Amino acid sequence: MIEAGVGFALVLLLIALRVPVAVAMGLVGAFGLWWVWGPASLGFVLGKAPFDAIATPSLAIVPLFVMMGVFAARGGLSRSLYEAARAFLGHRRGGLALATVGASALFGAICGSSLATAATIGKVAMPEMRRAGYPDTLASASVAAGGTLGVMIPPSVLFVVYGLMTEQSIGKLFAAGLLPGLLGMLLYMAAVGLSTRRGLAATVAPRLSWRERLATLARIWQTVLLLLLVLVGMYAGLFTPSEAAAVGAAGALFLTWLNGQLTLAVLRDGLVETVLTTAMIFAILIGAAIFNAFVDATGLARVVIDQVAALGADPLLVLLALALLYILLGCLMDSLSMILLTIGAVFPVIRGLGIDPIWFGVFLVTLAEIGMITPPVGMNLFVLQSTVPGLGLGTVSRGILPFVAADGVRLVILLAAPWLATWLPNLLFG
Amino acid sequence: MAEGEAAAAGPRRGARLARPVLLLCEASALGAALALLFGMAVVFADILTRRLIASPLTGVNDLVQLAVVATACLAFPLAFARGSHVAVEFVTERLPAALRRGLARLVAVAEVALLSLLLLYGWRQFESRLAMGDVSPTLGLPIALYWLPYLFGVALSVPAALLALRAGPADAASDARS
Repeated sequence: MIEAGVGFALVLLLIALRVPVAVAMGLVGAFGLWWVWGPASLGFVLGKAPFDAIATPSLAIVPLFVMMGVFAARGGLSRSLYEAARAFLGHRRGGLALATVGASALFGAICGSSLATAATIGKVAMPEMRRAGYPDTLASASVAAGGTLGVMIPPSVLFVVYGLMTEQSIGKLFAAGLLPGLLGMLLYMAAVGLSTRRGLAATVAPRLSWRERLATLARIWQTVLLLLLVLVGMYAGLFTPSEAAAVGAAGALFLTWLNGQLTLAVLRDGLVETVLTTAMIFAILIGAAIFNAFVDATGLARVVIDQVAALGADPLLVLLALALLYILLGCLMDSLSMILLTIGAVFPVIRGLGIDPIWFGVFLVTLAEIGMITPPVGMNLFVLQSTVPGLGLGTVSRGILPFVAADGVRLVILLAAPWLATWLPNLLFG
Repeated sequence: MAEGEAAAAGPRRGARLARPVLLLCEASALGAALALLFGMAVVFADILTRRLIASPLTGVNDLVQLAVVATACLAFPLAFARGSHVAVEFVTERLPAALRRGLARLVAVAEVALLSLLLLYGWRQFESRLAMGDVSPTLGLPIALYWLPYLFGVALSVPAALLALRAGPADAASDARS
């Protein structure tokens, strides 16, 4: 128990010293195993666990969904999505920020990564909003927050990793994220409304005719088709999630070619970007496998379960404590690492309390989303700061507060109405 | 040799060593990309055979597993060479440059230490699996096919991690292209 606590503290310390998360978890896990079990067991775990952690056919879904997002971005699909959203929402107060959130939700449906969604939509939306005189605080915050919809609205890399680590159905998790993701979009739009009322008044664009609006819809039919092919194919039982990912990746590649964007250089760079992102995720999986073997060896989960049972703790209190823990962790590290670092110890507790693991997956990803936009280490804030010229971290951080509050409201709704996450998977999968 | 000449010779020698390692890392990443396309093609072939002749492709799991391992592991070296890892900078970016350089060296040592452990114990595990005559469940593919990309990726990541330390991520990448 004490060893596990020291292990968690050491990982956080190494991460703060800029040791890559995967290396910090792997090294501390290896040292901890040596401490708890001795060198013979350490050799066995280090020889077997890392390979086993990545040599799983079901993990194919990760690089394939990453590839789908990469080529959707390189194929120019983000611009047409943004223009369609702008045509419907641009004439409202703060309309371009509303359009940014809407386009992020649509792009999130073909891209499973928060960072990729924020970076891709940001490249299109930030110059438009700056040209229209939007303050950087509102503009950048709407992009950063909108990006988080990428991990809640299926497909989502975080749901895939959570599902594989906890042996839950990825299809069910994707279905569970849809309604909370749409609720997130509406709440972010409300946050835009709140920001513009507070004085961040933004230019109102002229209202477009319905004919003009429908014309923009005609330009996104390819994207909608790809989205439907992946989601309907998966939920109608035509494809498994891995097959849907392969179809999505091939579809995005095809659309890039159809739009005349697929040169040899784009293909090579897109594939290299995909495999580097995959390597980054898999390195964290390896680090987490070693660290979780150490946490298992300390018996931490058993002790926590027994303590919670002995105290007769209300599951709601445990969830609130976990929410606090994850929000604090989210201020220090990225969402994937945060989930992989803690899930080995937390998930047995959740099962022990009888909490629905599918619902908990949505709850956890919502917390991870908050972490992505919480200063000082909200990863989406960093991505925007590094991709948008002249944007300071302080500026992005100042505008983000109404969006963090919107996420807080979503958490409360999820706790009060758990059916929001469980209704659709139960309907589709029984 | 004068001190200045020695100092100039050091980076030149380093650059000469860096270039082949980085080229190997980039070639390995292209191998990873091909493995990904192979995996995608296998999944597609399985969908088609299931739909058209109502029969799944034999050994699809064996082949996809191979593609997954190769995709990730062959990309590890370039990820280490470019420093493409999730890392947190908000503490270290406030430190003086000299201290940051020192910490960067410690990070490289940590990376090399972990990679060396993975390589050492991974190799032993591979030898033991090989001795037991392990093969893939359906197609009976030799287990070496699965372990070699993993061991190669981890082994090449060791010089790649050192390279990133020598030149810094951006310089390392430009060395490879020059």
